[in-house]
Amino acid sequence: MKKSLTKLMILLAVLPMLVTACQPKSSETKQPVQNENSTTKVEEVKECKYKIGYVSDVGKINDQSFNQASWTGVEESAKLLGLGKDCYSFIETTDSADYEINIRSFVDEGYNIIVTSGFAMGAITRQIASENPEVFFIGVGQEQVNENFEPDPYPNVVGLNFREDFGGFLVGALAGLMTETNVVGGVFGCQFIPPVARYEVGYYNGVKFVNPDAKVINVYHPGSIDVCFSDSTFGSETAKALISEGVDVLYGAGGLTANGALITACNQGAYVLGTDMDQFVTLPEVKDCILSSALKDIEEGVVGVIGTISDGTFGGGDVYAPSSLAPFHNLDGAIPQDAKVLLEEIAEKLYSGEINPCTPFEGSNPNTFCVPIK
Amino acid sequence: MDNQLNKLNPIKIIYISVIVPILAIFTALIISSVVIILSGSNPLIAYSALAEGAFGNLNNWIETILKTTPLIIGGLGVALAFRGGLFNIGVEGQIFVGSIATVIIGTTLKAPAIIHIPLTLLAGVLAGAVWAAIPGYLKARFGAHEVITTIMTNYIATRIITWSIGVNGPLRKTTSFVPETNSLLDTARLPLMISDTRLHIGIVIALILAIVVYILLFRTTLGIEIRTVGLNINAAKYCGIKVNRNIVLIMAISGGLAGLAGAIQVMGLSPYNFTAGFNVGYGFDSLAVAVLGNINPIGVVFSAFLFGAMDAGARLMQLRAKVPVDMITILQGLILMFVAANQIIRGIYRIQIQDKKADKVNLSQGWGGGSK
Amino acid sequence: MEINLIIGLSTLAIIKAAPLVFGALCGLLGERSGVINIGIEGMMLISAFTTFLGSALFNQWTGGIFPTNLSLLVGLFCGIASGALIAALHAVLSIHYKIDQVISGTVINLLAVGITNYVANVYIDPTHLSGVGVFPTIPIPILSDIPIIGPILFSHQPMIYLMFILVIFMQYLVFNTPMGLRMRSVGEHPRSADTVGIDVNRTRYINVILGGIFAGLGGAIMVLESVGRFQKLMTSGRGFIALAALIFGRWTSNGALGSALLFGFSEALGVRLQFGDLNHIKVIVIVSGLALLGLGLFLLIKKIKEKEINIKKYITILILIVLGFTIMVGSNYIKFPSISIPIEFLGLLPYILTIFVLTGFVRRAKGPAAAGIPYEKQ
Repeated sequence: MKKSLTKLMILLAVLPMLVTACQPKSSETKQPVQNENSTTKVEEVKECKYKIGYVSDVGKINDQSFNQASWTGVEESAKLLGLGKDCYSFIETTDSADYEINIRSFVDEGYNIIVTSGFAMGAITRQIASENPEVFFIGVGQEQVNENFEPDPYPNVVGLNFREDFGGFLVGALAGLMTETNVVGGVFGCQFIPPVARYEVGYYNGVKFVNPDAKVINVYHPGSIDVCFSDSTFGSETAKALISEGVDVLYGAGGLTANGALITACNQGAYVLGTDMDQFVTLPEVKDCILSSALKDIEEGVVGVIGTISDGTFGGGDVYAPSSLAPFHNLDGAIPQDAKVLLEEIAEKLYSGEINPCTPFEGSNPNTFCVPIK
Repeated sequence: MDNQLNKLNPIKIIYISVIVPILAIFTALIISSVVIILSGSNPLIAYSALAEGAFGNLNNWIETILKTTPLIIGGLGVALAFRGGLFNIGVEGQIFVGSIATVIIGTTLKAPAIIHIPLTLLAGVLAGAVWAAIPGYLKARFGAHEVITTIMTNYIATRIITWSIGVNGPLRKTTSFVPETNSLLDTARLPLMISDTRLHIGIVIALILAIVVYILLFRTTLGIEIRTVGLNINAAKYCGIKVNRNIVLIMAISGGLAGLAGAIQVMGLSPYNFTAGFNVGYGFDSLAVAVLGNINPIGVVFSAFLFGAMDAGARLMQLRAKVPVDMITILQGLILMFVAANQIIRGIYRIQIQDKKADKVNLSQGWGGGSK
Repeated sequence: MEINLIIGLSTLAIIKAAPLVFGALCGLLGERSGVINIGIEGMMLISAFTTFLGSALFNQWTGGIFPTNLSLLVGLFCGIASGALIAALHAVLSIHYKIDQVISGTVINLLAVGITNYVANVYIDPTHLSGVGVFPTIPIPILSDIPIIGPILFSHQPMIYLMFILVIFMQYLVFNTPMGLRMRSVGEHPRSADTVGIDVNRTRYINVILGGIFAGLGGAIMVLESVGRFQKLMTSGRGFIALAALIFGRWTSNGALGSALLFGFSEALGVRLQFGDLNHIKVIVIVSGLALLGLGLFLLIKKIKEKEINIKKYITILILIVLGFTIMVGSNYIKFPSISIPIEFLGLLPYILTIFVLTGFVRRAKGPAAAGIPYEKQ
């Protein structure tokens, strides 16, 4: 027994050497970007100008959607600021009881820019921020309000907010313009998550705005939080049902559940519309049938806010980043010119306040949370 | 339980109950390190961060303890059901139901803490117990297989509770964007063991419960009955044990423990309420903890501690080594495998001692024809 | 309109049932020979994962010169192979090392979630590995033109047909062949099986590994006929529902299909009711009527088969049927209030229904007697 134990000990000691020996080689051949990082790592390991930490909401970092966009933003910023690989990191939240400790871990580790993702972490982010005034906090999807919903900015917290209903309205209008069967559909994640509900309400109203006769069929995943964003099979099956109802443009908002719906709809020949990120890029399966995405430019938003930290213009409070349409990419030719013009008009009217995407309608879910944020 | 184990000499006991699990963990770490290397990270950094995250300082210790607490109680619930020949796969739902009952009593009742805290805990226990007693009753009365009914009650519980905190749900906190309930009143929150930390007295409750369940199972008549039902249902009938009553009782105690786990989570952790995403996954972790602890209450404490430490340490492992949190799940699976199939470990390290089939209970006794 | 509704619901029910059926068949093979498998969820997840990797990497490495369907077949093969492989792990752990089958299943579930999530995080997502597509729908000539039945049964993607064939085949195999007899005797009375010369552990190995192939198919169908790529945690508890379907179907192939269809139908209803054109209350009333009617007919056939002579039982059954029929017909003449039921409740119907059916009407579920008990030669 002793012999093999020593063998294993030696193995354990040798393994890391192997790692370091293999590392540059493998990254050289595969990912030149990483290689660049690992060479700079040596110099910058001790002195990070900034240390950026990212805490995801319950769910996965690489959800090709909400969480991933924030994390990509952090990575981009780190690259722009010339930070080494050890100057930014993440923690995936697996239980909402851990929000506090996850954020505090970054504070304890000396991180001075902390990005927290998701409205559920709003209150705790503000609390920890007030205790640590020297640390910058960026709350994605977190309005800076107090308990009574009154604006209450802190100097070291920026809430990066989005009008999901705008984006939903725009893709809805596009769907309404592009449908030939006059039936469009949507597959959504959890109804009880406000941004998702805002997308849905905006989408419905967008379709009706340009095409009052169109039928809109929106389906939510009925499950609890641990499945409603990750059940791609449900999304796919629902998409099949929707398409057999005559749906020819399908919108998906809700993490992996929606991705499943988009891919299936695409395979069945329908047009699809993505959400949060430009899903033409993140979901290559649909690149030949995706009209556009309700872009919530989290990535740019995060990069922008972190930029203000480095150039010293950071001011606390709410930032409202635009929620717009992603490029049409491959289907640019399929969309009529007058539709594009109309979409631009609608976008202008949305931003000027002429159109309220949130007007409740008959049969909508009575979702008061669509009522936006000033 | 220890009858057979006691016959071995003490050194052998140490070998089997200490050295083998340690070697199992060690082997699991080695195998996982290969995965970590393949993904381009350094396992030494990852593991040292994991250890530091679990035990590095007082706060990390506290996090480990906080993670351990619900796993102990939930694991005890699963283990107790297994002892009685029942497979309670519905712990997740029972935790949910317990949490919600806790919230209802903890937010509405007005009483001094000395009354409010026990009542709120009791609400969680009772809710979990009743929710679990339903499958128990269905099995006793109609022979409905508890695996189906507990899976079904899981779905029913999670969906109803999701609705109740969702848009326009009855328990939804009105002044919040977040799907969450109101916070418990101050009088219903568990007192802290060390002020200005997160460490509440839940761990004490958990440890006491482990001893109570141990005594219940191995030192009381009821325990003998439960174990007899679990070992051989026909023999139990023959002995005049009221099997049906016992089945309902076992499920109720098991569910009550699960409900208590939920209650303690709600009452002990800021912001003292129930949100979407709260307590997710403890049900299945409890199952793993129970079987890793060889469905022995004392074993459950150790295995819960191991799982809790890994869950707590995962934060620093991600932060420092950028190893995804899923590594922990792989590790837990491997450890469970090597501890259970310790012949593999004894083979690798050439341990010569024969494993006397100590305390071997068949977990799935009630699954097939063994059931009524 | 109503015909279309029935067609739509039934088709969706079949699509939703398919992964459950494959999972249940995996459990069936194992449990009939005495090996419990609570790791179906994990097996399906791993298989979905390898199916995707297999098809996507094959397509990538060959530069896409082969037709899509070939890549998908490669994926299918990988899925099946990995299903068998992970089942072999289950077999070795629970048969050779005799560790408890529940533990072995738990190990598989943990490893499956961990490994697939991990690799998805460090490899699939950063590289934006793309899926290749899905199998096309292949309507069966002539049969698919039959009204109602055609579109429901004969206008599917290939693996759905495979599912039906396998269900029939398995029912025949388990109950009408010497091999089936052998596996059942191993599951019921391994000792006696041993004495008549059946190699108990060998039978169990074969069954568990064959079962792994079915779980592989269950994972593969989600990738190859639905989602088109691997997504984290895409099984979302279907393995456990499959287990419930197996037990609910009383460890028979046909029964598993029936209960999986019941789950599928109710899930489909939960989705369909969200479309907004149906009166929720009315639909639920009709479905309850339908359930009573179906139950009555089911019991009637069963009692006739059993040559039951007690008239009272027939009267009870008759009351069920009449009641169900009255509710169904009567609901057309009542105006129901248009209340929209929260979406969380719409999908709950199957679970509540299951519990009711289990308690009242299906007799005590009795599994293979030796399920869960490792066999030791004496």
